[in-house]
Amino acid sequence: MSAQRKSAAATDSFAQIKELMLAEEQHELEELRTRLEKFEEETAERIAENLAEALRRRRELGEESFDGLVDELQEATEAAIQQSVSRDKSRLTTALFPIMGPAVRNYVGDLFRGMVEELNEVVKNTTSVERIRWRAQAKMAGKSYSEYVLLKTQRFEIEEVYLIEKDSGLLLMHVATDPENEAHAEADLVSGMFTAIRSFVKDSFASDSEDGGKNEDEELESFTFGEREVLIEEGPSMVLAAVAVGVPAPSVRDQLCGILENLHAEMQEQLEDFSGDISQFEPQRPELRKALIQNLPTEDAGGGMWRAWVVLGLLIAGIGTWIFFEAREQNRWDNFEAALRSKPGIAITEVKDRGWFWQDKRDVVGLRDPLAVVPETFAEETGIDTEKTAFRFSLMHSLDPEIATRREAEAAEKEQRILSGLTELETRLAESKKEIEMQLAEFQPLNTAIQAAATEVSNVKTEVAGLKEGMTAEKQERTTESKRLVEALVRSQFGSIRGLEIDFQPDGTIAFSGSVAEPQFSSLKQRLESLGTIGKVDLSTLKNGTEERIDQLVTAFAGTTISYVEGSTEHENEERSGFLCDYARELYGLTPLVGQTCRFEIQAHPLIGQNREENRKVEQQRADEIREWLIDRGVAPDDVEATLSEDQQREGQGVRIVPKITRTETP
Amino acid sequence: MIKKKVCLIGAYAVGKTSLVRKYVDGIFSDEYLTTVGVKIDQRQENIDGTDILLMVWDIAGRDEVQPVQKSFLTRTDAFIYVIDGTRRETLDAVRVEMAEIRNDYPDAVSILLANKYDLTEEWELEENEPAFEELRGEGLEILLTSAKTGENVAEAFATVARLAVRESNE
Repeated sequence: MSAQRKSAAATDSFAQIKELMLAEEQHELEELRTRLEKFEEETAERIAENLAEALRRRRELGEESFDGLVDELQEATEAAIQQSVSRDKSRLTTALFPIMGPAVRNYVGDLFRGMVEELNEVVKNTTSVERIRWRAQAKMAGKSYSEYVLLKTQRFEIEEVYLIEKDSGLLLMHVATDPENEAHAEADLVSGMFTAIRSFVKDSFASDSEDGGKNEDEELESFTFGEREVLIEEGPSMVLAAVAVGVPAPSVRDQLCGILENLHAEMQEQLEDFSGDISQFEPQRPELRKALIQNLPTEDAGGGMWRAWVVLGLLIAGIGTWIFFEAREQNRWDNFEAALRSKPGIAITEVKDRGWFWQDKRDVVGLRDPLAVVPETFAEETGIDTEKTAFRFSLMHSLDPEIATRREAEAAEKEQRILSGLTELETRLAESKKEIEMQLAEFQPLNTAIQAAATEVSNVKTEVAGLKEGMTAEKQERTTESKRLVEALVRSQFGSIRGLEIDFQPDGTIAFSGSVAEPQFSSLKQRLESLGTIGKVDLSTLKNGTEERIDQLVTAFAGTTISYVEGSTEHENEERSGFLCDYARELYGLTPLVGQTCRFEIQAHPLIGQNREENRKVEQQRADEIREWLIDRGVAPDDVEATLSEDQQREGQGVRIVPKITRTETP
Repeated sequence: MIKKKVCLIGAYAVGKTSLVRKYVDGIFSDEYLTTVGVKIDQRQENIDGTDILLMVWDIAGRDEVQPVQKSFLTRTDAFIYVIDGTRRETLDAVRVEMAEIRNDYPDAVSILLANKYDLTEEWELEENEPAFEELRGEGLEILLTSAKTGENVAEAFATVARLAVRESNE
């Protein structure tokens, strides 16, 4: 117990000593502790209050120092944004809206401005002469106008072209729009890397072929970077890579392909033995340069405008010339019109222009005293084209003193002229009267003689009329007598001729008719025709009797055959057969009289029956017999011929005599 | 100017890229090696007055994951095989590769570079390695190089250029 007390007493003593010795320090320590606690509490507030100032000071310390701070803050900021977006997108959207809103508006505004500019361009395209020409060219090229405009306005340019050996990636040639760029050392590296990337892309993305490898048909055809596009055309041994700026037209690919084909055609042989020597390909550089295709849109202003200026100049010159001549013409007209108006006896009421300027005409309307100047004449004298001017003036009596004086003078002159004319006329009348009286005196005896002659003529006329009447009666009598005499004469001469009939018609025509045989007919006809000297003769109905007989006989032969007992040479009616032969003889005798010759063909028709050989013998005998009969009757052997007919339709019809008449001479 | 395509072949980390980094001209970053699998540089040599431009294809090293992309090797004029002298397995690997390539590209010339010659104390291979003698016997030229010190590097490219030109002249 005493120990506890001792210990407590010692502790109090130690505390007292400590307080005595360190009271001040303890107090300061306590204050510092309090301040430290407060400082930790106030730090956030102080940083919040002074953060902006602190950042400003940090920036003032130098760029490097500030960048360090930014680097430190960047990660935290990005993480904060990501966290914010993942938690609640709407907060960040709301926060960014004041920034994004104007940005979107600006973008949309730019878009619309672009559209308006495009619209303006379209309007310009549809109205300018250049574009109208494009329309025509598009029509001829078979392209749509929009496609053609796109081709014309699409700005692109191929800046560089690499011609690369396909497998090794070695650069064979490189051309650029700026020839200085063709020599740069990087082209080979680009070519190689380009080939590597092509291989990489193909190995990575080409579809698998059936044999397990990559599909060889699939190739990297192009790739774009910014506004550049690299067009790749691949051939069997070479690859052509064209770096284009802008949007190349679709046809560019065709052009590049064509160029690559040409290069292959020229270089293929060298490529087969290619050992890295690229100098051998230099001759093909011009061909490769063709691949530097450009399409820079033509500008309306500039080079092409000189044509417009020339046209405008010509137009202005034309208009100027026209204005000059019009002004000169107008001036001339004004002078003329003023002069005409000032003429006495002329009152112009209206001047009208009509027609277009290239065929303008004027009508001048007014009043004119007959004694005033004639406007048309005055116009011609002044040099006015009267064909383009029409003057329509009504007459008037002008009271202009000059015209009045002229009118009075003219009236006095006219009166004087009339008076002198009257005097002269009176004198001439008196002279004429005297002369007529003298002539009448001279014609008096002649008049008496004429009257006597007229009486005589009247008497002679009466006498002649009597004579004419007597002569007419005598003529009629003579005509009648003459007719009677002619009739008697004709009847006495021809009345006895057998078969001839004579008819004396009222109009004096003698008509002969009937039928007279030769040889009398020919001489008779000549005699009758000679009668035409004494009157009109009609022989139209007079027939030649011989010719008629010949016709009858020929007709008779046509329908008649000589019939035989079947299968023999025995005539069915031998007498009839003889008559037919007699007719043949008569015909043979008559034909020479009318200038004809007659031959006969004895046609033996086939017999009925199948025994053709025997039948033909009989047929021949029949024909020969008739031939002999005709010869016996005077027909010359040469004029008769026996033939065997093969006409099966006439089988069993015996023998037929066929006369064949030909005209040899005029009878 | 004669251009030749040269491919660097070798296992991962044998020093191919180091060999070309200092001794050739290039514009592409090493990232292409890991992305595309190849990086192309060039080196110009003059052989008997003729300018030879070697287009050096530095092909990413073969490993178990990524084989050499064969399409990069098409129509190569010369192969430079690179091994790491401190790792014997790189020689074995390159011999496998070499056999395939010789079969596919019999006309291409080739040399072998035993790299990291500056680290001879760490070498697992002997300078008179039987495999080297065997390869030399096959006509392969072998150079001991150090990308770090530059030893024999320039000579290696000159040799490749000379061999390639000679091959094409034949």
